[in-house]
Amino acid sequence: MDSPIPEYNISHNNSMLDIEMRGDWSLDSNFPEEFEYELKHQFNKKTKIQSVNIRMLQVTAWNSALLTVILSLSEFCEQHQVQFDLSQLPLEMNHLIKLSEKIPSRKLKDRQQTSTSFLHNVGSDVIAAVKDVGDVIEFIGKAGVAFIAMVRGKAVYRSSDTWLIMQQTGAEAVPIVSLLNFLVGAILGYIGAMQLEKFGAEIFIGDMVGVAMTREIAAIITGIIMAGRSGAAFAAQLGTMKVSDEIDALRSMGLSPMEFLVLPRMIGMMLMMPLLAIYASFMGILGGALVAYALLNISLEQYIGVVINSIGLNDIFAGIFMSAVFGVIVAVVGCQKGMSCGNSAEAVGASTTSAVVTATVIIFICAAFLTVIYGVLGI
Amino acid sequence: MMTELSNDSCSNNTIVVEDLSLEYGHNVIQQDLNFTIKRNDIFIIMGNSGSGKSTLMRSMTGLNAPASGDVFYHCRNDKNEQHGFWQSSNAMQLKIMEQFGVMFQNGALFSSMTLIDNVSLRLLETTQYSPRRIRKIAAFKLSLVGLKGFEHYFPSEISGGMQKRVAIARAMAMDPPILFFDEPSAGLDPVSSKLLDDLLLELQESMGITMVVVTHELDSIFAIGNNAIFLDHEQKTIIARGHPKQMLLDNPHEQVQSFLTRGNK
Repeated sequence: MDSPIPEYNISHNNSMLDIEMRGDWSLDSNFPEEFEYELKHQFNKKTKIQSVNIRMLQVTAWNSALLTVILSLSEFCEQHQVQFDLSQLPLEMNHLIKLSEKIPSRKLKDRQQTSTSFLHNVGSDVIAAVKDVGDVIEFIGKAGVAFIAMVRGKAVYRSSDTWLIMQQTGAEAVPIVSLLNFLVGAILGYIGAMQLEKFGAEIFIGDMVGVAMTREIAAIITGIIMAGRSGAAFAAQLGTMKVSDEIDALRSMGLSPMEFLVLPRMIGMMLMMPLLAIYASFMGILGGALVAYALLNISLEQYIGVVINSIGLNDIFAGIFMSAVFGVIVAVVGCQKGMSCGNSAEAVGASTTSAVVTATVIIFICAAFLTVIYGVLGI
Repeated sequence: MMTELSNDSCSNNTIVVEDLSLEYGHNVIQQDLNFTIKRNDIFIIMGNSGSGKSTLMRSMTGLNAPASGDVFYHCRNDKNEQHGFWQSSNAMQLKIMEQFGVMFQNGALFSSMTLIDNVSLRLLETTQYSPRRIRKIAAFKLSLVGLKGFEHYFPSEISGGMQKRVAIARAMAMDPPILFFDEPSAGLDPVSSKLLDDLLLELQESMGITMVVVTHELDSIFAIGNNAIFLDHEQKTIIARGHPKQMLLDNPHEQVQSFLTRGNK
């Protein structure tokens, strides 16, 4: 009966190392890892080994794992100038060894795995960041040129794409925009209610929620949602198109990717963001109304009255302007990251992540900047 | 579990495809497919574009369920009995899948991994070999396809032809007795294509692997194939079978002759 486990016997016959192997050497669970070490250990013994003989007549099955041991021993023998006769190995094993040695090892260039210093890393990162900024500025310039071409009626793009983008970034985003802004309005109202109650000024909850949502919060929350939703989608779509050479195909047809791909996305986002922000303000105010009614016993009529009195046209336009700016940021960053994507699945993932992170950071910086400007201008 | 390269007592039929029908949505692509692939065959699945060659291969490799019929394989520990892949339990399907490796059309290498990591992945996740042994096995497989010295390169750093060879090394990682190739020469220049054909022949000779090759590259078909079927997209079934060279000589079907002579007949 065939032995189910791999067995070996190592013996010395004068200056010859004799290895006899039996059994099934094809199972990973039974593979004797120590075999290779034991073989090499024989060369440390006092008896000088001049040749190695392997007998595998009773080996019932084997695979590449055993071959790696034989190859390792063969290399070892070559280094120690010991004769190792491969001819007694099974025919298939000899074939494979010859095939593996048929094409010699070659390297395109030595891989340099040198460690770099902290300063070197910081310097490299700064250079990369500066280059990134340069790329973004160049992209904004090209997007501006495409926009001007559109205004002059010379841009080549499909208006159906713009409608589709408007649907994807606008109508399809309504559920999430509704939910998040309603909750933010409710949270804002709840925190406000707790503080205002101390001064008996509960009725001003309408002022607080209404003005905050209309001027900034709705635009910021919607901007972040859009960055995570549509900005990521833009980067992934364009990145994948780049990987599959679709962008080069457009160029080869004489079409500008900036006009054909980026312009519809920018227009769609610029138009949809203000609409979404207005709607988001309304949902936030509704969230505040729920808290006002539930916690402060303020009726809906009272609450709406306060909100209408507190919000001016300046607040509404401030919010709309801010959201339009955020729309441009999300579209530009998403498209830029997609268009500058590398040529692999990993690169598409990296550019998508980068699009979301970059757009979110820029949205917050712009929000702070615009708030100060509004204050200075008395808006 | 690894499969032995030598000493095989199993039946001569490695794969049996029985009454297989393939659908895409509600469209029938191929039906009543019946054929047997023998051990050590380099079996070519050929046909015009859209005839369902790749879909058939995906059905044979467990990626797409057929509308009806089954594909029968031997299992390592049960050499006398064949198991229908699609009527087997999940555990049995996994066992059957250990019998084959698949090389996809574009290589499908994991871009975030080095070449040796690509080849090692399945061994690391499914065998009990030590990580050191697995690295050695993976390096050996890369040397078999002529890529010794490229172990630590990423797929993006090597040419398309080299990527295909890595994909072959990855498919061979577990020493499977069957290898599937989907359009192995697609996108390669004639010289690289010839080298790849030579490699397949050498691997087949050295390891006794049964190879199933989906292709419409005529040079490859005649150079490596010793058995073949021709899928016709109009009749939606096999209209010719046998040795490709014999098909060229005596198959009466106009589509087959047109295909094998580049439309010159």
